[in-house]
Amino acid sequence: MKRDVNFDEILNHIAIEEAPKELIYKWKAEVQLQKERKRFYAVLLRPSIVFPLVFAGFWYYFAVFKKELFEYFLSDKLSSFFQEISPVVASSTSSFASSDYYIIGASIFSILLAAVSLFWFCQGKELRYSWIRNW
Amino acid sequence: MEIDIKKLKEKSEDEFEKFFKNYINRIYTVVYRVVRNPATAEDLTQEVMMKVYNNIHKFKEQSQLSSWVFRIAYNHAVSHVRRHRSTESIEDYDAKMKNNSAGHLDYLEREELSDYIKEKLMELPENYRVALTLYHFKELPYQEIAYTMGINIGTVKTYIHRGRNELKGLLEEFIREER
Repeated sequence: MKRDVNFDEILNHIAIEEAPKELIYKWKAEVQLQKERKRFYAVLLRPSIVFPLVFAGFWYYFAVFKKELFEYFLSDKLSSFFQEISPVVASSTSSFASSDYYIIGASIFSILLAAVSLFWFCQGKELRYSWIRNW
Repeated sequence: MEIDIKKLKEKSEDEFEKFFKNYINRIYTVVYRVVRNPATAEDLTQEVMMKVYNNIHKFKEQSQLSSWVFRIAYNHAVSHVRRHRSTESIEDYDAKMKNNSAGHLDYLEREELSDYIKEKLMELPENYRVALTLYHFKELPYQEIAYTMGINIGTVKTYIHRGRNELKGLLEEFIREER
C-alpha cells in the first residue's frame, strides 16, 4: 500500500513535538522555590561573614602581640630560605622584622588580607549555597 | 516574537516566560529526539529551562539565542543518555516498538501517517534524527545546527542527507514521493 506524500512537508510537520503545557508553570514554581531557598541560605550564611575577618584578626594578633614568633620566622626561617635564592631579600626580611615600620606593615598587610579574604569569600557565595543544598 | 536578551540577562521572569512559551516545544523536541522517552524528556526539559535561566549571563551573543538554548538541551540530554545508556530510554523504546510492530498496515489504518513517520524517525541513529529535526525547525542555518551539536558544517550536511535517505528507506514500503 503506497501513499503520495511530500517528504519535506511531512518532515516539517512532524519536526516539532508538543511539550506538556504544565512545563511553564512548573518552571515558574521552581524559580520561586529557588528564590526562597536562596533567601533562606543568605540569612543562614550571614554570620559566616566574620570568618575572613577572624582569619585576618588571628594573623594580626600573632604579627603584633606574638611578635617573637614572627621575628623568628622572618629573621631566621624565612631568611635562611631566602638566603638560598636572594641574599638581598633575606636581609630585608630580617631588617623589616626589627624596624619601626613593622607594626604599620603588619596592619596594612592584615587589612589587605581581610579585604582579599572577603572578596574571595563573596565570590564563593554560590559554591557555599550548593554545599548547604547538597548537605 | 522579539525577545529582549538584555531583559533575560536581568532575569526578567516575564521575558523568560515569553521566551519559553515560544520555544518550549522545540526544547522538548530536541531532548525527546535524544532520550526517546516522553516522561524523561519532560523532566530533562524542566532541568534545561532552569539551566538556561541560571546561566543566561554566560550567553555571549556570538550565536543565536535559540541555538545556544538548543545546545544546552542537546548536551543535557546526551549526557543523561550516557549516564543511563543501559537503562530506560533505549529499552523502553524498543519495547514500545515491539508492541507496535504487530502488523504495519493495521497500524497505519489506525494512526495518521505522520505519526508513523515520526516513529520511523525515532528509529534513526541519534545524530541523524537530531540534525534532521533541527534542520526542519526552519530557523537554524547549517552553521547554527553545527554549533548546537558541537560538530562541523560538513558533518551536519552529511547527517541530514544520510538521515533523509535512511528515513526514506524505512518508509519506502509505504510512501511514494510526489514529483
